[in-house]
Amino acid sequence: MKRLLLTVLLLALLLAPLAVSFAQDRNVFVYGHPVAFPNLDPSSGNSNENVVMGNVYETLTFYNAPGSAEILSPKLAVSWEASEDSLTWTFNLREGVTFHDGAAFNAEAVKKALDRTISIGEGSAWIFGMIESIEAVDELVVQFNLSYPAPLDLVLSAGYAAWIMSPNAADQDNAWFNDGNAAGTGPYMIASNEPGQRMILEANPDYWGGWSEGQFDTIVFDIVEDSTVLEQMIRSGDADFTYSLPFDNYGPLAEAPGLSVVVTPSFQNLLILLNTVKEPTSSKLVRQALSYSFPYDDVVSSLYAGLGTQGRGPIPANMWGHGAELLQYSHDLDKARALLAEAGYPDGGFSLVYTHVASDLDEQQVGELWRASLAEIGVDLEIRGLAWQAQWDLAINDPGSAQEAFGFYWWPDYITPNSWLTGMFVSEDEPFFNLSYYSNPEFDDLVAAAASTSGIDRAAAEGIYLQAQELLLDDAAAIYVVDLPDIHVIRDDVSGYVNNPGYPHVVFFYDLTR
Amino acid sequence: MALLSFLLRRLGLSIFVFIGVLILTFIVSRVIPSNPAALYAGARPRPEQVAEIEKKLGLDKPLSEQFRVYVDDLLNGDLGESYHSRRSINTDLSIFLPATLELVIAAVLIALVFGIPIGVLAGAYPRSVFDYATRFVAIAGVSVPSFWLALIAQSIFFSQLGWLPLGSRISRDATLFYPIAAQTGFYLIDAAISGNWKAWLDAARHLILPALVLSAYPLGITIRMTQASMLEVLAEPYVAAARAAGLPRRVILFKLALKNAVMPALTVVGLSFAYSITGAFLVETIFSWPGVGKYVTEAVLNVDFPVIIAVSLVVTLFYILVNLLVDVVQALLDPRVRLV
Repeated sequence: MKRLLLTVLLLALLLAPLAVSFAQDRNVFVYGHPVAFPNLDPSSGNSNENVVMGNVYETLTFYNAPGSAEILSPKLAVSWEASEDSLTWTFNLREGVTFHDGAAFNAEAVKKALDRTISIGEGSAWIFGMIESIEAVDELVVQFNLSYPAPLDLVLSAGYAAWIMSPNAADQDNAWFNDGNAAGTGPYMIASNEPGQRMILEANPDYWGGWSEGQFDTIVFDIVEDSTVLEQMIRSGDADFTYSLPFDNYGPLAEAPGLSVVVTPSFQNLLILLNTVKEPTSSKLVRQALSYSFPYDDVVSSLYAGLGTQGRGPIPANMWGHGAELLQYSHDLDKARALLAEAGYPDGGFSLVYTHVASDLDEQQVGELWRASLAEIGVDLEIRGLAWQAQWDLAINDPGSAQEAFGFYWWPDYITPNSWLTGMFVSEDEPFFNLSYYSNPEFDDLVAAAASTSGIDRAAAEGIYLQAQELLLDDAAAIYVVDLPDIHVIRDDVSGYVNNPGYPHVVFFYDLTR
Repeated sequence: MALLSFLLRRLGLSIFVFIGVLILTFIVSRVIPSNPAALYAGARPRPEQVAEIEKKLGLDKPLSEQFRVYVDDLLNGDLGESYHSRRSINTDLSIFLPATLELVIAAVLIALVFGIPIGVLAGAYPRSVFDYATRFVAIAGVSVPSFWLALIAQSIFFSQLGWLPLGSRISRDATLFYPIAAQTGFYLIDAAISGNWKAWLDAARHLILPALVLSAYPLGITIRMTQASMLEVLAEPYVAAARAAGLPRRVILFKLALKNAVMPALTVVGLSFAYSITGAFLVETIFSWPGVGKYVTEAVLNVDFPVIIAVSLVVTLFYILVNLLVDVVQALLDPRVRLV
């Protein structure tokens, strides 16, 4: 018996170091991805699966990375124009494109794909709310009729819901997509999918853009939730790309041989919405005082290792509609005291409730840093961490007894200032996401005017959006805490990588070479 | 005949346990303050979307009606749909359950193959160095937290020695170049069926560490239980008689005594098998093992109730089945156990 035991033990120990070796003759790119892909349906998925969608499917228009000459560039549409009232849009489609399943790409296919998304109506499909009907005018000409003026070219560049899938795929239900099936026009196709573990994409040999030497023919997404493991993978060369590591680790990583850390502003930011209907924050002077009481620099340096930037109005830097000249509040307690005195609270003497999502430690720390600063001007801050649902329920039920300060992240569904301004600040009959309960008819009119102009004259629209933001900043409806950075780590023998915050964390593998 | 009626009676009782768990988890999921429709709708839903989804999911109906619909689906073998991913839970479990079972079965096999002989020998040589050593191993196995053991194992076998992989079920290169054709969902079986030995070896290497870590608890219990009942059995007069008759020590220990001593050990191992399914949750998370544990952890973080209920029910089912199996095996092995 003992002898048997020993033999088994020895065998096990002998077997262990026998690493299996495999032939390696393909150009493989590995994306160490921190979360699983919840919903692979291009119509309703509006979460992290966008990193897959962006390579398997394509949109009619493409939102260019900041720094490009134009905001949009052609993708599946080669050109487009809007009517004077921006209610009728005509898109000329790219010729000679086929879907992965062999179906031809044409106006009928575009209509069928978008009709599917609109009729399912889940995820980000509401961005198509203005579309009244879609007509296939000609084989390669598609016309959209809108019920109200909107920048449809921007809407169709969205990183969620705007993907065009093949007519055969459009007949399928959600389960079909989530079994790992797909049929788009993109440069890559899903080859295998092990939910929660790994997904493999293979190059689409018939891609309309063609292929050249050095591009990747196989893409692997390894799903790894543990950031320590992710870091180990990128350091050892086991992964070529990753993100979502602790902020403090990026410094050492940037020094590590073979790695580049790419830091660019994202289109996501953190705000604190101030209650404009409840005493004492209903007073504009008090809200301005609170805006001066916030320790912006401390938050940026201690929470985000100096990698984020303080917000300047609601629109993130690097996005159209961002005003570099707009008012930016600073951490200035003397000004805050003076404003409080003017408002009738010479020594502070009131207390506020700040709510945040309980699991979000960043939001909690933001509250703690703010509380310390507020204490110096005699204001007490109660930090209340709640489940998102509870935080939201408290906010929408009765503004008069709700929180005074609401921690809130915002990101756009398609890239327009309107997302922030209408989403959070235009008057609402029943509070939904306007959780400052801000109501200013002049502001509402400006935002509406800008939205209807933005389809035909983007520059004019941008000017009006800036005017609207000036009102908003003077009214101090919110504290613009931080514009969050996008931080990605990539092996430096890969070239061609550019971060595009319009498509969060998407790597367009087609652009890369090694 | 007696066996059949015994089985039926035990099954009848088990159904109440199952129904109890079902009602409890269902009610908890509906009472907790959260809006499943908003969860289903995803990030930043529009109010009209939430209302639409409430209707679609039947959340606007009274609780009793919702329960009736759920039970109806359940009786048809349909565990429902995840609110987070919209995937069918049946499909998901058919992927994740074999992964967990492969791990748990390997762990329990390790526990039995090593635990019983060690326990027998420790019982045969009480107060020897071997006895004290196994005592230490057994108590450590039961009391050391599995996540700590997992990290230590990773740091030794991956970081220091580089012998075994850090985690996941199979290496990336094996999926790329030697993909396993899925049939049963057990990688070792699937790879063996198709003769894909490179992938088999790769999968086996990935299995070793998590299975060893997970086996610590059942191993400790098996050793202790076997040893304790060995001591008891060895004091019996018939063992003395056998010894007097001049039977070799090996035959006395492993043939005569073990048969009588293995019974209590079996009961506990059976229970620890079911326990290991829940214990696997931690181990799976650390080893990125795509099993039920990782699945339900994600569901809990996303407040994905249909998945949480379904996994609770499946685990309950395993407890019931394993208990039943242990009872039956015990009855078959030992005629003194009356089937009542």
